[in-house]
Amino acid sequence: MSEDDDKKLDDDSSSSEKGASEPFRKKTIVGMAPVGQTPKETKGTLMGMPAIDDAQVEADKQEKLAAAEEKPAAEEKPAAEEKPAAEKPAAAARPALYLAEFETPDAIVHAAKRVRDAGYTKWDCHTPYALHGLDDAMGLTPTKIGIISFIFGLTGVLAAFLLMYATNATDTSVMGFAGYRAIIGGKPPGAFPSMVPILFELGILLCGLSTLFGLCGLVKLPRHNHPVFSSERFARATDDRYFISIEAADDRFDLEDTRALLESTDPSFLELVEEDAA
Amino acid sequence: MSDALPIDTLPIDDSVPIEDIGERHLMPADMTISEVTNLVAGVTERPAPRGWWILFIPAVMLAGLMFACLGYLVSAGTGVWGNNAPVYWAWDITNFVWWIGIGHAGTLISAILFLFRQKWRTSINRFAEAMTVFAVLCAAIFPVLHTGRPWLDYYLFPIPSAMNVWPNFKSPLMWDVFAVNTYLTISVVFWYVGLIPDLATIRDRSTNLLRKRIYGFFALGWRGSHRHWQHYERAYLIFAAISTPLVLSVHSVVSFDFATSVIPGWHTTIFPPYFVTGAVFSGFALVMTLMLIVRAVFGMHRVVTLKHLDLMTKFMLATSMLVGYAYAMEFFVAWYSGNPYEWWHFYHTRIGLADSTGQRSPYFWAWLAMVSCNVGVPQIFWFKFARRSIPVMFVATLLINVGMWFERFVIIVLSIHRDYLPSAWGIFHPTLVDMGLYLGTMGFFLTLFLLFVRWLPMFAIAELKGILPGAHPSHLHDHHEPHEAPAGELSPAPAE
Repeated sequence: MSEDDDKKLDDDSSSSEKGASEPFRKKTIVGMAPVGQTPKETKGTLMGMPAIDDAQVEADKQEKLAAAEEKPAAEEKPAAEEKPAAEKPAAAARPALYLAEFETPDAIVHAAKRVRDAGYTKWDCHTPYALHGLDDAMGLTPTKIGIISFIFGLTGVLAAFLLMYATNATDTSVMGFAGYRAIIGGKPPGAFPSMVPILFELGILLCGLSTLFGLCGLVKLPRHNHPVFSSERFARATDDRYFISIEAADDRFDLEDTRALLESTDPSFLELVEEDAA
Repeated sequence: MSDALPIDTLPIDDSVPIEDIGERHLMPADMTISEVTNLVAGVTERPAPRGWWILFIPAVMLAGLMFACLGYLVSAGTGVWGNNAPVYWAWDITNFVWWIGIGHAGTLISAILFLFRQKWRTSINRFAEAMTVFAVLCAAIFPVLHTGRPWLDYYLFPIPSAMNVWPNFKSPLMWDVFAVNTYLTISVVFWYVGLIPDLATIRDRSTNLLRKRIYGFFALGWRGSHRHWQHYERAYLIFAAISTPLVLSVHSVVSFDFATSVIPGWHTTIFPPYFVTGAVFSGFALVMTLMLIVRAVFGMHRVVTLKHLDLMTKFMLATSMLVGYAYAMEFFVAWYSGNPYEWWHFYHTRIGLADSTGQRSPYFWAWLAMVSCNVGVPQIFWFKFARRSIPVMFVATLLINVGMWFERFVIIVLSIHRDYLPSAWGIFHPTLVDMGLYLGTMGFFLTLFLLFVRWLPMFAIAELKGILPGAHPSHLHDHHEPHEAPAGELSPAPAE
């Protein structure tokens, strides 16, 4: 599908269903001035742009860009000076990540493709719901969680079989516990058909639990602290905004270049989040 | 899809304005993404509306009645129930099957409708999943007590101990132990996994540190990361995929308790599908009853629209027909099998026709109540006015639940109070403890349920956002990828 088609569809949706795409249309931010205009108020160095309209956003951005280019070091300084007594003043002001905010699904997908193509690896998109097309836009490989579930599901089936066999089908002692060769309902010990329901149930049980814990392991949660939470704006990532974060730990991370890259994707807000002074 | 449109030129793009293909959006067109957050998360932040208290106080009192009955029952013994020879399974097992069945609609909505890409489920799935968990808890009370000595119930589990006593795994009752426990565990996990992103939403809106800590703790530090969403979506699909056969198996196993016996009226191969259908039917009815109440109390008319209710009534109509088919087939098989005991049971116990000696069951009216509520009442949903009228739906769903309780009563009590030998016949009368315990579990269920709607997001916030018009990039299908399949669930949703 070409760009023209995209545009046509957009037009269709706005004309045929009034307001249908409104929640996702780029809007001006009203009553949402960037939190902490000065670095002293928050841990991060903020480059917020209280947008009134698109033209002003553009103007502001140019202004900020110019200002930032003139004295990038001056912005860093006050934050460092806040903790003169700290053991490691450098650590207190260490940048953790850049956080860029977008207002529409289209905007974040385009931005994600730019970040992907720039070769970053330690970066992420934060969305209020699972957004389609981001897997591709981020260049993610398919998840392997199904393998975990499958292996543990089979383990559950096997465990159930061994359990029923050891207790109901043989009197051989296993670790001091012996079963009984019980003949019940005229069925021989270890009759397979009567095992099927429990084989199934235990397989499902282990499959489900391993999926839960496998998910926690793969996504490395629970983790209640993360630098992104230092940004007060980030609370909207679970509400109605889309964010891209690029971590300072990434090899390609550079205060200037990374910011330039993110700014070129036209975010509605961009800030440098610094690590908590621990 | 209209014939006027050439099929091959139709874009298969989710983002196509769905009016073009004759569909309408599920959610109101002016619904915004932050409105969903405010509407659902806001319930947990404001004081409870008066309607909530009006329901909650009697519910807690009934729950207290349940605990009083439990205490009395455990101290005095199961003799305080009306169960007696030959009716050893009575209200307790009836209630167990009824409650378990109610839970099944929750899993059906969350898992089976998910697999079939029924996007309208997003407005009811959280709700129904919570109902599943609470209904299974209520159900579990009855068999636990029915063992007679509940403090010895650990015998049911294969625990290696010095006694060297093992369960008999050939018994359907043991299968029940495993099925119900697995069902409860997986339902809780499925429910909780779905809650994680929404708990994070509430956490991020919290202004109060205590709320932030508590919701934050259970949100596990969720930060909406797409690297997480990717695994999460697949995990969710796996839960749906395993819950689907699980829910079918649980009520099948419950039906084996009866079907593997030799009692006329129980010994039937139709039981597994018959029980599963009935379970889904009754569960849908209770979801709808509670949904109508909560929708009115919390003003959720924009999330649960008449469109959703209309679809649910159609679902009930369909399952009612399936249940009706099973009722009819039982009679047909009773005649076709040529088994005189089976014949006697159906024609003289259930319908209540007197046989040549003037014998019939005094409980035949229960069968009439069951058929009229389960097959008769839902037929009203053939009419559009009934599918659009809240009072009609409310009364009909209540009657369906009454009917489904009678179905279990008919199957259980009617079958065993008239078995092979007239000399062994008996009758069952419920006692006050029977009634108190049944009403009490309703109160217990309602208490848990009201606490849930008050303190947890009662709709799946993240999933609702995903079906809003325009929620996904407009150029999505530029690069079609096979591994996008699980993510396909949350696209802007055509209604059916």
